[in-house]
Amino acid sequence: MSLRSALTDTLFLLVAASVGPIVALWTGDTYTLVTFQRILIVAVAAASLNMILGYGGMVNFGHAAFLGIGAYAVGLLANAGITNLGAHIVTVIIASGLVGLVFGAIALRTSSIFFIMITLALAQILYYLAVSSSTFGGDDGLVIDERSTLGGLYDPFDPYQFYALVAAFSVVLILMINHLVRSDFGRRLVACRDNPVRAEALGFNVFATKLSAFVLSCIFCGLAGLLLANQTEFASPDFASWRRSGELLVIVILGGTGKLYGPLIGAFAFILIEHTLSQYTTHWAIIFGPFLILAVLFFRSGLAGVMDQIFNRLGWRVQ
Amino acid sequence: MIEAGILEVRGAHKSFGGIIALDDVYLSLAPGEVHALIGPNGAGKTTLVSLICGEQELDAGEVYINRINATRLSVHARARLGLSRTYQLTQLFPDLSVGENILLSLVARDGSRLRVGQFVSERAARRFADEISCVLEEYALHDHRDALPGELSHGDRRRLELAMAIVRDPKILLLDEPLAGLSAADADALIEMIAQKLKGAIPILLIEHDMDAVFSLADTVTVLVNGKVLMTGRPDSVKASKEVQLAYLSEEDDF
Ligand SMILES: Nc1ncnc2c1ncn2[C@@H]1O[C@H](COP(=O)(O)OP(=O)(O)O)[C@@H](O)[C@H]1O
Ligand SMILES: [Mg+2]
Repeated sequence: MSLRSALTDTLFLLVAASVGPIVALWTGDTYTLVTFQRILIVAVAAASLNMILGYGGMVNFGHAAFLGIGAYAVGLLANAGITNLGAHIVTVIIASGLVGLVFGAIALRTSSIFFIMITLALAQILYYLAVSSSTFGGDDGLVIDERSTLGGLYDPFDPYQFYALVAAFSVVLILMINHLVRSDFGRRLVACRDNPVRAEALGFNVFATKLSAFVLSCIFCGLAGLLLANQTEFASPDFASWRRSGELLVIVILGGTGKLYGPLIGAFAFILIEHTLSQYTTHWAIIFGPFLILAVLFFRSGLAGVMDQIFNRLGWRVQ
Repeated sequence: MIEAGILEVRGAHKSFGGIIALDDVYLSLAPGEVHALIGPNGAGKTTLVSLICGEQELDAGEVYINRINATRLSVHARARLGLSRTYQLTQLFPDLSVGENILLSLVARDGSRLRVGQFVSERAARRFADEISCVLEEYALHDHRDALPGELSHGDRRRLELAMAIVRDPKILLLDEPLAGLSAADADALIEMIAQKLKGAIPILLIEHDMDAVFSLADTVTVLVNGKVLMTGRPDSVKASKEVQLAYLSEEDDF
């Protein structure tokens, strides 16, 4: 059962990750790889948000702050001459884990609308810190001189090799998130969301369970920020802005909250639609907005829910 | 103190704004006894139970569970001391199947603390599969394993909650009006079950309105009126008490 779901996940993710190179080879335009890299990176960030939103009931309206933390950590290290990917990963895990612990410990004292407002406020603090500090490059952000290196094993500036690294990294992170959701811990998390009163009465520590999930989710988002910094060779305060956080929420909801494949599907849909529409008009949001509202109204369980139904009709069982 | 009970409430005070819900309440649950807590609506019975399990804080007084001072402990910490309860309004996991509701209770029995292994393992469902079947069989819920609690009848939901409270092997059971809203047949079955399986095996604090049930099950009865303990004693002496009849039993027709 668990082996089967791991295999299904891997297969699904590999298919999703191979769309980029196939399109790039087909059109001969390696620049399209950039779009598909972004999709995978955003899918990781959205999957990390879905883990706490869909399974823990925590609406983190400041989740993008951790994209920022990951990106700035990579930027500061790389510009200080430390480019080793391993060092970047460890630093990002520690930085986003610690900030996540503080944010979570504060925000989880509250719930519902207050939780949303506090996560937003905490993220805004980081945003203004980045904007106002010269170490972080202020408004302009931080130009990163070097991408993360793997000791000469690969060339970070070869489009296909770099795509392979981003894809492999994203696939592993999403597999880990899916595993956490399916794990014994994941079931406790759902229980704590579903009925905290009953969960406590059974002896589960609801606060500790939610906080653990929150911190893990921040770490995964921080690692997505690491990839984002590598891709854009830039760390911008905009990565941590509330608009980014809102975008992540939209992607999760569009894809299907609490659906394992929702964030990936949502990221594909969101970025491809944005990409297509923005070729015609800079006011693409005017078209996209109503589309989103319709999607949320008519497909309660998101695009992943629609796909579930299609698969069910075909007689396949997913998830 | 001669003999401390397995559950002790000493001098409990609780008020909500101007309303005094509990006033200097003492209660002691002896090992193995069924202790009924009766009293008219609004007497403070549910408040007392939520103070015992830590969902509300005492204004004054102390709670001892298994001789450990639990007055400042969290709800889950008290649960880990062996406290288990059902609610006047059932508390289940509404988005999880009946089987998974039981599963979580079994998981809690084997260790409710978070451990690193839980982040890695996804084996609980399979490990407990057979035991879940047994529990569902025992509580006549085996036809509903994959149903959601919301799809069950009221009686089935009550039985599910009771099963969840019991399978985690508690040392003390608090039942807040377990018979409320049950059909006569369901209520009889539940009384029978408590008498056969639980009475004597595990100390129970039973809040109940059904006097026949109370006087047939209870070893001790405490009468609570307007937040004060009117009397504690054996069922027959409580029944015979003039005071109790005046304050309470004469009003029985009202509810
Ligand atoms: N959370 C609360 N806020 C305000 N008043 C409450 C609260 N809970 C209980 N009360 C009041 O305390 C008294 C006792 O209530 P309760 O313990 O539910 O009684 P019982 O279970 O015996 O019917 C009632 O007057 C009730 O209105
Ligand atoms: Mg009550």
